[in-house]
Amino acid sequence: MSVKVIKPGLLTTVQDLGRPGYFHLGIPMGGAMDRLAMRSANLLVGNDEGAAGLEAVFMGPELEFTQDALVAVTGADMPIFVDEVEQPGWTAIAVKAGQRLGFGFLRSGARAYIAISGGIDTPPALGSRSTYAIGALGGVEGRAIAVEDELPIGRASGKGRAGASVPQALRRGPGSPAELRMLPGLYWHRITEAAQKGFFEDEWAVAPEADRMGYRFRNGRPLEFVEREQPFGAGSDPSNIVDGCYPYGSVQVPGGTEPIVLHRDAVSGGGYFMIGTVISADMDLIGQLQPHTPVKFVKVDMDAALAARAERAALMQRIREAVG
Amino acid sequence: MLYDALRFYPGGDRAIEVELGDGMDFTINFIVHRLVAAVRQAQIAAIQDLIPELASFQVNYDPDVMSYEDLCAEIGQIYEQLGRGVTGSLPSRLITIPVLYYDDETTACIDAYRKSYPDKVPDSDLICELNGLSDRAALMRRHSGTEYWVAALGFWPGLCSLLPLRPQCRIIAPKYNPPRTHTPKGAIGIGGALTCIYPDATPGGYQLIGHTPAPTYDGEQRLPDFKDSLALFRAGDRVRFAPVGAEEYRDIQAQVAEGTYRHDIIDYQVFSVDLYLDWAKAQEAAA
Repeated sequence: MSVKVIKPGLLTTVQDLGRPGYFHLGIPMGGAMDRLAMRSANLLVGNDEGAAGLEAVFMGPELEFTQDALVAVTGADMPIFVDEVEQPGWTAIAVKAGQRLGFGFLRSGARAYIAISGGIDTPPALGSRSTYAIGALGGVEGRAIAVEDELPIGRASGKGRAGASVPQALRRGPGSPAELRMLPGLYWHRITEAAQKGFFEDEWAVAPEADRMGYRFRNGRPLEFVEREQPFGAGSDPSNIVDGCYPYGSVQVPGGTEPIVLHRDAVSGGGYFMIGTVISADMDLIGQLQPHTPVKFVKVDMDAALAARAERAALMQRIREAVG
Repeated sequence: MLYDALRFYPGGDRAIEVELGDGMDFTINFIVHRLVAAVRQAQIAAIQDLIPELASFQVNYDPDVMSYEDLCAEIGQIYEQLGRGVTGSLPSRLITIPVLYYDDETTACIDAYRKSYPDKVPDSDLICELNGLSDRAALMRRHSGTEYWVAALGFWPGLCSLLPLRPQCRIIAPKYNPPRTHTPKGAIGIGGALTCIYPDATPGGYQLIGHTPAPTYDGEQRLPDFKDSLALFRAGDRVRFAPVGAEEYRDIQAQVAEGTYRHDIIDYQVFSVDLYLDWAKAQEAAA
């Protein structure tokens, strides 16, 4: 069976949980930016958590079904319609052959995840169906979905049931100001103590340059660097380093002015220094931030980062139990 | 400069940055690759990905399997056993890349940037000035007069960081500030002490000196030399740039479009680190 794209939305891509293991070729891990939302949507329709679905940014697509299916929409809050009838989010919805799934205007969050029973069955590339447009990998011919695409759908497991839902208390979205916990490190020692303090004091705002590669922030004070002699080949700007690897979630600050948190399609390395890394538990949240959202960075240590990681894993487990 | 001991930095709760030294240098990079190979061989269950860079490498790991402290200790031990000597030999392919220096497309790209930033000195003039080169012809001779060592891949799918192996052919250049929003696919750039080949139309910061029609990344694996990998280069390969004229350049472009182009890859050579270092030292002494 397949699903026909009537309207693609703004930027809607096929995503699963990504293709880790190819960073050494410069190919990022990719995959859904909000993994908890993607996993939840899949669980609701009876798919494996890692099945491929759609990630829609700011605006939903319009899809026509050629066969009965279960769908679930999680993540960003936007009105969901089957034909003209509004449907609940974070809930398995029965859609009949010939019906259309559509969306209204975004109310909060940034990315909606759409799972369809059976999962999207485009050909995997390097072990994943995730679309990585820059490398023309995965998804529909390595690009975002477009009008008249027919998205192939796999065989449904039959495990999902219409009306199943993730309880309100287990859904997650960003607060305001959104708080991103950061573990200082990497080249943290390269900025002055005053700059270290100021970074956490300032209120930042999401810049318009915010996408799958990274989220840029502005409005905070520029960082002041500790004086030092640049090593051979590093370049003269104090924010330049001898090229190094960029971890997922690392916070680079070109020129010391606007921090960029690297996300799932980020480049694997380069010559800009990093002051630390947003902890893994908060990376999903970034995918739901709209431009101009106020953001505070919150300093944590390794123990707190690991505790937050365990909490996040426990939350996912509770969702599995609630849905399954 | 190679540090006395490894320096570890946490990259969040699931990555470790391991620094061996600071600087863009063949010796450090060689030790990075050897250590990464040894860590890979140790098959530590918590490690999910190892990514070598110029003077450092990154370890992505599962903190539920092994703690940051334990993993750092384990890697430190492997390094101690391995030592810091630079010796041995390894298979190393030699890949020749045709280049049209100072071509129209990269020139247009530089001109477009200078419309927004008129103070930017044109790329080749800036490099000549900083490296004591009399003119563009001298820059081309220096750039194409050495083999390069593929020190790392990354930043973009298939993008290579190349270090010149002949000491007299080192060229340094600052990066664009702010970076360009566009670079032509196939552009040849110099930044810091490195040369790169842009595998696709991407943003970028390196100073541009020419263009190759030979692809270095092929997501669709259309050309024969990409049958086994999407990226042309592997760390430890060597690269040479061969200047070509406009006619040969267009001819290669046509072959690429047809899908018949074969890269010039020699894969029967072994690279001796000891012989290389002796040679480099003699070259430097003579200069």
